[in-house]
Amino acid sequence: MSEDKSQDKLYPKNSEEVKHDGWYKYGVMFLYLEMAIAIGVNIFALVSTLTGN
Amino acid sequence: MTHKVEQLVLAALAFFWSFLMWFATAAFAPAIAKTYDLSKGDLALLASSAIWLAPVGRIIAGWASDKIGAKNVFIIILTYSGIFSILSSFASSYQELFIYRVIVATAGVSFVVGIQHVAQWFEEDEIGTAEGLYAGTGNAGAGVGALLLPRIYHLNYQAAFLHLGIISLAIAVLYLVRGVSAKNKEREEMVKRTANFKNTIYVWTRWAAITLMLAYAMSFALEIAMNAWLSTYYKVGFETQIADLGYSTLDEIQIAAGTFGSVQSFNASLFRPFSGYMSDVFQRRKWMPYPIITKNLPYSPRIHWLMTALLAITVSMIALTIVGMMGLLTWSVVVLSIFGITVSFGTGGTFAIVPLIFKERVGTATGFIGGISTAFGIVYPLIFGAFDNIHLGYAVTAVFMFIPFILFFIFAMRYDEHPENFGIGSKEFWLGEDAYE
Repeated sequence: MSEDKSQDKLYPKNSEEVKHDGWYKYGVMFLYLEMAIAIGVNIFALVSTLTGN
Repeated sequence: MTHKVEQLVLAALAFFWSFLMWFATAAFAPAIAKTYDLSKGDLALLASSAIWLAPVGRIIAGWASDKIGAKNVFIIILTYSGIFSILSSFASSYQELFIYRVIVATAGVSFVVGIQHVAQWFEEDEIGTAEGLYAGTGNAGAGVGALLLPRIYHLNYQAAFLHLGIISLAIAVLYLVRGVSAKNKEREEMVKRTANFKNTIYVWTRWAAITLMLAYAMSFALEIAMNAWLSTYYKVGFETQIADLGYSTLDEIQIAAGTFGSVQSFNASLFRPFSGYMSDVFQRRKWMPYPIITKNLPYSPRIHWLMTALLAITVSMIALTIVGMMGLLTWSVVVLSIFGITVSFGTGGTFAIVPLIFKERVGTATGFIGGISTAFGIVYPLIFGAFDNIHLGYAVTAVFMFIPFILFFIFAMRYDEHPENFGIGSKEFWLGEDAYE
């Protein structure tokens, strides 16, 4: 336990534990949207390599 | 009145358009090659020329952002690159076109301007997400260029360059009207004071700065080199396979090659914020798998995450050569997709560490790491184009450049306290009395 406490001291709070402004959750949602777009482009490119369309 | 989100959107839009203009040349490489009858070597030179002025340009742009404000620097960049993009659409010779496009390519220096602009508006606890949104969205401009420009304009690159230039000027006007360089006067004045020669030399001589610069060279510089190179690579390296799929005209081949190459660009930019998230996960869960890297810094897990990214980039480069030499087009795109994600891990992982190691000199460190590393983007396409077998360059780069870079990373990140104090010359030697401030 004592080791855990010293570890907690060493590593500062993660940003997820901090209260953020209202914009933040929309920012994180946008990040997920960007990743979804990237995955969509990957699927599209792979289909192109397989079908030639 | 303005809001920080408006400034973030402005910076991301300006950066996105700068990247779109920067890599529009690569998107039309096959069409330009046909117009001027260019060889593979000429295309490699055109690809690398897109990055020639970036290293010095980024250092100057970072310094100028501190001195005169990011708003003014962005307006200058968007204006001159827009004008030269318009001029390039009327070029009457390849030499003329080449010069104009090299100048337009300097729009890529805007990366450091936006990083500085966003940092001037957002607080420490939200800076990771804000910078991630900025950098990830802006970098996507390159992928959008590769994917959409050939579809919209086909072989008519002149019209594309003209329209891109006009919209760049419009964004410059928008920045002029709505842009504000910093949240308040104090922030603006603070960065003006800290930008000086002594601090610059000090940062440039730190092992930590040098290794992070090399890490960024392994990730971001590689990303932009690939943006400029992949259309050519797929056109030349998979000519038969692309023809077998039914792509026969130059227009169709250009679209196909651009589509295959775009997975790298999209993944490298749009997964970049996820890399910041993974850095947070490593930090929160205290994951430190590598015994030879320090485990005693407050941000050690983030260093271990970056090490993971560097190893993954190296492995995926070798895999790209293997599937390419086997002539497997689909597998090449799959590996390229994974490669793009590993690159995003490197870019996001690097800038999750820079502000923590160089807390008091973030701007200077960003200019050095983001600027000098870009020079490697010039070298990579030249290596890729140097071998008779076009697939071989990736593995050669991984073995003879990336593995030594990783060994240096291990050397620089072994210190348990203040890694920024170690380098060529001591802190006192470079900063004198300022070292104790």
